[in-house]
Amino acid sequence: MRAFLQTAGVLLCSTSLAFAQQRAVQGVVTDSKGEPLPGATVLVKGTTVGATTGPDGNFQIALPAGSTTLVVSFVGSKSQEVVVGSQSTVRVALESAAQSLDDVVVVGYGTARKSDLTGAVASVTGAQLTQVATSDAVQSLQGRVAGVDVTSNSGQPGSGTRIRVRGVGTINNSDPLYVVDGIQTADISFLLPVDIESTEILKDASATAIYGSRGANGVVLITTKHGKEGKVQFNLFGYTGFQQIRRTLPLANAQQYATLVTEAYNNAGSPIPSDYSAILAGALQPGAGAGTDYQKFVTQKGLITNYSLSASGGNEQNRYLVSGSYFQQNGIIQASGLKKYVIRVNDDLVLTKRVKAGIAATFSAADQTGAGDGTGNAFYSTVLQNAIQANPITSPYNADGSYSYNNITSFTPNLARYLAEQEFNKTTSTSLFSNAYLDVTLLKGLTFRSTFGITYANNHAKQYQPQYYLGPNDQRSQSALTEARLENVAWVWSNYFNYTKELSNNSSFSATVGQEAQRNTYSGIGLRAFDVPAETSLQYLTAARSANYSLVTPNPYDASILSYFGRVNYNFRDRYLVTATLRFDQTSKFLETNRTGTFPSVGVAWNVSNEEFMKGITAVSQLKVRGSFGAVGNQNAAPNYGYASTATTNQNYVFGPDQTRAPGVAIATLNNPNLKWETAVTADIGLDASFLDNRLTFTGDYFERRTKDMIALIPVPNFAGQAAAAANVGSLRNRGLELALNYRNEIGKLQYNVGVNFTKINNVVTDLGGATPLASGNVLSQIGNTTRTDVGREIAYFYGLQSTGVFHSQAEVDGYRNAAGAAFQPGAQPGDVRYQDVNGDGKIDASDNTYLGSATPSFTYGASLNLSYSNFDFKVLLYGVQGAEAVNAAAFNLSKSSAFAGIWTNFYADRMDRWTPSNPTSDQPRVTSNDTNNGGGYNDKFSSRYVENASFLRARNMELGYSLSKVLISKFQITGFRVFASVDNVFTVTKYRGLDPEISATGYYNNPLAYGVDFGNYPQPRTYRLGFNVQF
Amino acid sequence: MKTAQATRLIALSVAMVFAQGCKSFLDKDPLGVTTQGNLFNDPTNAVQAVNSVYDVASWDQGPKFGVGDYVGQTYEWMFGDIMSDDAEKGSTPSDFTPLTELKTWTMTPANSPLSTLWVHSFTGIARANTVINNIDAGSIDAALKSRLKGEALFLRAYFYFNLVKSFGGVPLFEKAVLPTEVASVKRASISETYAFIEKDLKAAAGLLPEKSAYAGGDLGRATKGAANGYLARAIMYQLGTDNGNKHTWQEVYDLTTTIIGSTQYSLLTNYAAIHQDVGENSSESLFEIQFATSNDTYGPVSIGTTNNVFQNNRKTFGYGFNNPTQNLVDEFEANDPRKEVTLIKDGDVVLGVLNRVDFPAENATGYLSRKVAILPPAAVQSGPQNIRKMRYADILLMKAEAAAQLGRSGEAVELVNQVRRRARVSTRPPGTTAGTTTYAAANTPASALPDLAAGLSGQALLTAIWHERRVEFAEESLRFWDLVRTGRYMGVLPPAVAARALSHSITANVVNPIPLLPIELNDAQIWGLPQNPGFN
Repeated sequence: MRAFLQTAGVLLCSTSLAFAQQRAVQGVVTDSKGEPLPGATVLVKGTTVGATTGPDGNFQIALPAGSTTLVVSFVGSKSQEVVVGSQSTVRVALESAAQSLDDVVVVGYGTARKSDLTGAVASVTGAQLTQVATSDAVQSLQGRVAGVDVTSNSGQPGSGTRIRVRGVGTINNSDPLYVVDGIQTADISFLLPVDIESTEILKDASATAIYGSRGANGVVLITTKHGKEGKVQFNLFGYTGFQQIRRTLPLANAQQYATLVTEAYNNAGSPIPSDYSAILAGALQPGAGAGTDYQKFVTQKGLITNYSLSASGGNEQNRYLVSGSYFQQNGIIQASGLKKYVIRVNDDLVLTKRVKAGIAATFSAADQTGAGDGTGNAFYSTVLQNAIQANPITSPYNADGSYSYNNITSFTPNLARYLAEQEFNKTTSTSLFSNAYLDVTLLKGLTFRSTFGITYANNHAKQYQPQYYLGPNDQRSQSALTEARLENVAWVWSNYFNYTKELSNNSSFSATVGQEAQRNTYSGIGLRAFDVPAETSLQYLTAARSANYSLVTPNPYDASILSYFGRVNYNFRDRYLVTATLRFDQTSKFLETNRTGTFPSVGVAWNVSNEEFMKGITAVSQLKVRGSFGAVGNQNAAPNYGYASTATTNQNYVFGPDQTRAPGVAIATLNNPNLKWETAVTADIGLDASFLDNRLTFTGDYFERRTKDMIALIPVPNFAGQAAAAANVGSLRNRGLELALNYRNEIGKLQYNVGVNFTKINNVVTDLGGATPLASGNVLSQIGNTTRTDVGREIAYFYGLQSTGVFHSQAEVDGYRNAAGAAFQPGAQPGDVRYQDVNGDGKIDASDNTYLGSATPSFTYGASLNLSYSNFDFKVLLYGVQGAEAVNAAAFNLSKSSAFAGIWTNFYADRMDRWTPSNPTSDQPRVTSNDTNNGGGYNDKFSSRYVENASFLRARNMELGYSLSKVLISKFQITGFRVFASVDNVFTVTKYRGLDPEISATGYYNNPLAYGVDFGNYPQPRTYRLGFNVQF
Repeated sequence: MKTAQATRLIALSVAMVFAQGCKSFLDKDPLGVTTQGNLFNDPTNAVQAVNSVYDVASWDQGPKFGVGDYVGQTYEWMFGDIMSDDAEKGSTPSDFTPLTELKTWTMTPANSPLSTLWVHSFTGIARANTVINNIDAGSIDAALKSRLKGEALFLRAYFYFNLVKSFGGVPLFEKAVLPTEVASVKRASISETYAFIEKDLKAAAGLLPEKSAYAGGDLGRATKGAANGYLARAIMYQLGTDNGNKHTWQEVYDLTTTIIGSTQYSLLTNYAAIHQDVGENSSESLFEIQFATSNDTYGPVSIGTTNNVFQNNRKTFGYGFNNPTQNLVDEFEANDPRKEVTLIKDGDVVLGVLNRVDFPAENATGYLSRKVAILPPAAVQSGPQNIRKMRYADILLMKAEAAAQLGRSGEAVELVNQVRRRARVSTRPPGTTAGTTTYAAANTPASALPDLAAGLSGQALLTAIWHERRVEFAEESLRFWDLVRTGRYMGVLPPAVAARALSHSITANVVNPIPLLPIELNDAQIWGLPQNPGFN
């Protein structure tokens, strides 16, 4: 049968069959250890004649006359070309596809041999990306690459990820550019990790400058899986498991809470407010119970599943891949979850000998449920934060099962009701990412390529807020429904020539020159209607019973970039390499005079190992020294129309006896017509080395990046009366060291691979253009600003009072006097917080605010261990951050001494160890309803008490897999079968007292100056999974 | 496809795209938004730019600058009533303790009603400056231009007046403050700030039409009368606090005489109707903040107000703040119909609804203000009731006070008696019978509220005028500043509170001590504006 098909294939595809003679060749394909490989593909080079190996790795193929070479390939192994010559039997041992310096990597507008690179480029394979359970392709990069810092925005399903290449490069948008199959895009949420073949991260100017204005924060190049030559290959991948919260905070129970609040009033000598007293007294009755554990109440074990099926294959003329994936995740907080569907197709065609073309499309749809987790929402609306703040005495339900009214912490909503409402908060997003290319070989070595990519994305957000009344402070007098449809269309059209000329003596020359146009448009419509019935089938705008509605339509935009770029590479005898690039970008985001940005770079490298004098040193397989220098821009930092003074609508008033709505427009935001490019000048020195037959590889880079003309929204004083404008405010310098080391070897049947990476970045603001230090991070109105950005320090360092413990006795209070003999802190009592007079002016006030640390780590590191023994494999992935601090803003309420605005939110349980006359050695301040410290209110000032060590070491993943013997499964026409058990976030070693030391920097109104201020993130879950992977 | 064909096709399409020009590809105008450049070349845009300044005056709370972070609630009664002897905070004891801080003079610079007052006032000033600085270059009709500029000048003065009353001297901006200039911004003195306000009000009075010159649909816009009224009020406040500008009572007398002589205003016949729907923008109204029903929940986008909800009975649907004190209740003369119009007590029927006042659990005094009583609105955040800011009765009593100070006691007595006579004939408040909203007759005995004796003069006359102001404007947010400017504030406070208030007061070179509230935390700490006495 197979012979018949082969013959048919040959008949169809070859016109010269009649004249051809052919001979049979037999062989066996094995892996590097000599184990037979069933299902490997064997093709005659330059033809469609092929065969597949049988259960014992054997194959037989008819070799046409004139053909001498076979191409042998197998999933997970490097393809190999075998010259048959006159032999009739061959034996092929395939190497596993571990990386080496000879690998081809993707670079901007082309590919390059890794050994030819002059820039800093790191690669991550698709198999590594699927190790962690996530729908987020970026998150799976965490801990993989030196110099790449990946932090989840939150543990909420679908909330996105923050990625920083070589530190925070700007006080504005520091997101890198993503390039998927050659198409630039700002967002890759349409991809699942399983769809990715490989990822390259371009870090220095030599590598990124070809992307000019979009390269300043690094470039992440993603190559998706495409069809390969060979018979159709099916791949079924799936896992299922569950997620749970890593830890809950140790909080006071009902009795402890009542004890602390009661004591606070007693300490102040004031009566307990009449609306509290009975509730508190009740909780202190013997046998009153521990109350409600609200953290337990709102969290859950969430199911997580992912299934993906792909089919791929093809011949020399046509290669295709079709895949479908389903991802589903229930959050660890109730009423949060994500469902995602992804369909991908791609087809690569050889049209003529000189013309190649391809198309690809990815459609993705995602349904997200729940909000209020802190990603961009205000502190007080997050479910988990409300659960942490709620007083534990009040049960969420009354005796009759109805929702209760929480009288003490009445501004935290009833959580049972609030969770039910989250179910009505849904976002559906769909996107179609498609691209096509045409590749024409014009002359020998000269090709022209035109690539067009267009992305359509839309986002349907729908939120229903029911009418309810529980009490004066927990009510909604009228139901409301908000629905929005947002559309984004972006296209990129690139046209470029590549020229390659091989010279004698292994020298070569290549050049790329091209042009590119991009356009990104956004518009949408949103409405908020009122008095909408609660019945699910009536939760639509059409059912609104109120005639009024409001528009919540976002501002549309239209932005374009027009670019010209070029690159030349010269390789002298495989020893000396030079790369020079130049790009001009013109953007619509600036006025004409500031429009054009010029971004040059040059990189040089010396392949020392190719020198004659190294030939004898066999221990060194590869040794390369690199250096680069260049400038790249950060267009992301510039807002749309930031140069124009635009009016904000809906600033309405009313006139006349009929109370007619009179529309108003205001210039609510300052403008800056002089806005210009933000530029990063980067220098890099690197070393790539491999030893012991490539078993040990090392990459090290030292870099410096100076960001100048940094664009940012400068905080303005409130007396300015208008919101800040984007401006070129200053300069920032990042210096860093990146090291990556990998060792692989085998002991008998045990193969192992150990990789470690290390990144140290020193971040300093070098200039703010004479502006006042920027204060920010005011996530809680009670504490005000927590960060400061000033010349000479890292960005957004924590800035507040230095606490030196509490006064343990009246004698300590009396003894704390300044040189003039006056009390530093008038009104302080034993048990109150003591502060340091930093500026030495004899009193404690805001001018004593001082440096309290920052979220910028001393260093970060990652480590991976892969073991395989016989059919078993085991992987561990570690990720760590050292020397970072965080502001535990949630603890600010939990550790308080006094109420905020009369509201006694819950406490950390260890507040029971507070200072009291009978516990005088405690370092926990007393509780009091009347804080008289330093004139009043100083127990709860922002100080070093709330800055915590946020270093952590996290076992990101551990996985144990078992692959069925190929011999066994081949009987079932299966070429690969692996099952695995995997645990994410197995353990976290940290001293941090908040929910999670991995703190989003973008959560609070996307403010980079709130870096490291923890306002109560949705924490990273622990995930347990069982999964499988089948190829057939 | 042949290679050459493919190449030609691509070359052609590239050429076509760029034939239309790179400039048009890159020159973009902001979509769907008006820019500052075309605000004042179109009459509708220009009017809307001014509307947005009024809008700020109506904000209870909401995003900072109208586009930023949330800021908390602020209402004038939080200072004008609660900080005086007229009202207690109210609600449950633990609710909204920033008001307790104001009441007891234990506020910090983070006090939210104060911060919001600060932010909103400067937001209004910035928006007024956009109009004042750009409208002259616009191409709209000259008459409209001068009216709109007058409105903006009036509103800038209105915001600065709110600031100077509460915080003392503040930074003075005639145009938008640039980021490069913020570091050098200084606080002006109190008298400099007042001089700035007076300059704006005088200019506004020159540009603005009288109330009757406005089209009906524009009722509620600033008028010549409002500008003169606020000028009189600003001068009167200076006379009793910091009179560095050397004002005289004659100026107050002249200004109020001008307003009265304009014949634009008269007392509404029925005192009980002033704060009802029919009293909005009535003949008695010089200036009020306008609201309408909307579905908005909160924030400055709203065209409704939570003002009434905040002061309404918790037992019906409100939050129950700003409770009239027994001291105020006792101030009313026997059978003064204004007493019932001003107060709600337990068991009263209000707008046809029986009100239970849950004292002391949800109320601090046993009373609520009836002037803000309403039936539940569709959305509790969007009541349509206007807030009266300046009434003709105030002009009469200001003139009476000026006349008394100038020795024209006979004239003063007659002015006060105009106000008393109107009060005497007031009906009962609407809806005193369950299920109705009608005005029942008050059956006030003829002996009630007798005219002031013709011969009354000197301190006795002043005391009578101050008494009249207290009962006539009870719960209308004027009491605190009336006490301050007449030197009686410290005397009405409990001694401990008075001591704290005095520690935050300016006492040197002033007529009476001027207690000052702390300026906003951020601007004091980060931007280096000097803080007021006793705050850090």
